[in-house]
Amino acid sequence: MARQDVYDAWATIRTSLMAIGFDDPGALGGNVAAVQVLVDEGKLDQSWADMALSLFSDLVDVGDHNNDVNQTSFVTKATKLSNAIAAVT
Amino acid sequence: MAPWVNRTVASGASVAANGTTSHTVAYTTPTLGNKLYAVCDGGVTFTTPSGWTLIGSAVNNTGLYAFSKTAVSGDVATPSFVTTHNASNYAIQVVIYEFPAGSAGVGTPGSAINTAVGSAVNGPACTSLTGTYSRWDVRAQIATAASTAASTAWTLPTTEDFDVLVLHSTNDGCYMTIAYDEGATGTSFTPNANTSSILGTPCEDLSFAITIAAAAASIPEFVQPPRIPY
Repeated sequence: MARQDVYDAWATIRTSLMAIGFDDPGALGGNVAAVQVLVDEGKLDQSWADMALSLFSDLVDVGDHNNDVNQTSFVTKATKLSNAIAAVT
Repeated sequence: MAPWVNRTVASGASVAANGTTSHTVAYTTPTLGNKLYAVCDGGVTFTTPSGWTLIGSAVNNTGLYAFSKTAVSGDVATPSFVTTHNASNYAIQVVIYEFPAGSAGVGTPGSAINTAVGSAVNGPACTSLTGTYSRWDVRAQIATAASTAASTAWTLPTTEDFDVLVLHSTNDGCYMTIAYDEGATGTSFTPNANTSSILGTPCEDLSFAITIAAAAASIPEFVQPPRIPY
């Protein structure tokens, strides 16, 4: 699986956040901060913020070190997080 | 006198938002064997360019990176710095320094996300240093549509070399500032600076040190001795 799949999955979280009314969180850590806002508002469980932080750490590793992360797992988790965000009302 | 042999501040299309996920930056043709350091920043991740070594990174709202390499023949023939990102159409900033052959990184670089902006805050300590070295610190900040100005007052290192804000345009821009000191000693240093920005967002911060070798002495031209009349 290509690194691009990780990038695309991270971008999907960004898109989901904007779809529920967030200002553009940008391409990097803004996703984490936005998910934390949803947690603080009681709209998501803290485990989602933890997942967002973990995914961001993996994104950074893939980005600069070319480190090997489990990309299938990344995409699976990112998709779940995107869906959870999309379900927020 | 500045400690570098050459310094390239990338500009124009090489660093502008270009609708793609990569940038190619040309820099001043280096001398074979000289040491190159690249410092770069943008609202995206940066892959480590082929042949370069990651010195350190601080990634949060921006991706701030420092890379180094020794110039090889390929760099002399085609000096280019190629990196790719996790998102497309973002402007970046790149400054590439060339130091004399034999220069090398020293100590353990520091990396941090500073949460305090608008007051003097410490950067990450660079530790395990030995001898006499040049100390460096780089700060970066994301530039959203609301960001129209940013500046940094450096306390340590003391000499500001770079301070540029690239404004938001479609996507986020970035702010980066670089400071250094020559002839530093001690086993560690802790940068300190006050970054003023209307954003109030955290800033990314990197510190590192370089032992800079003496530049090779140029070979003096042969001077014809005066003829002795006889």
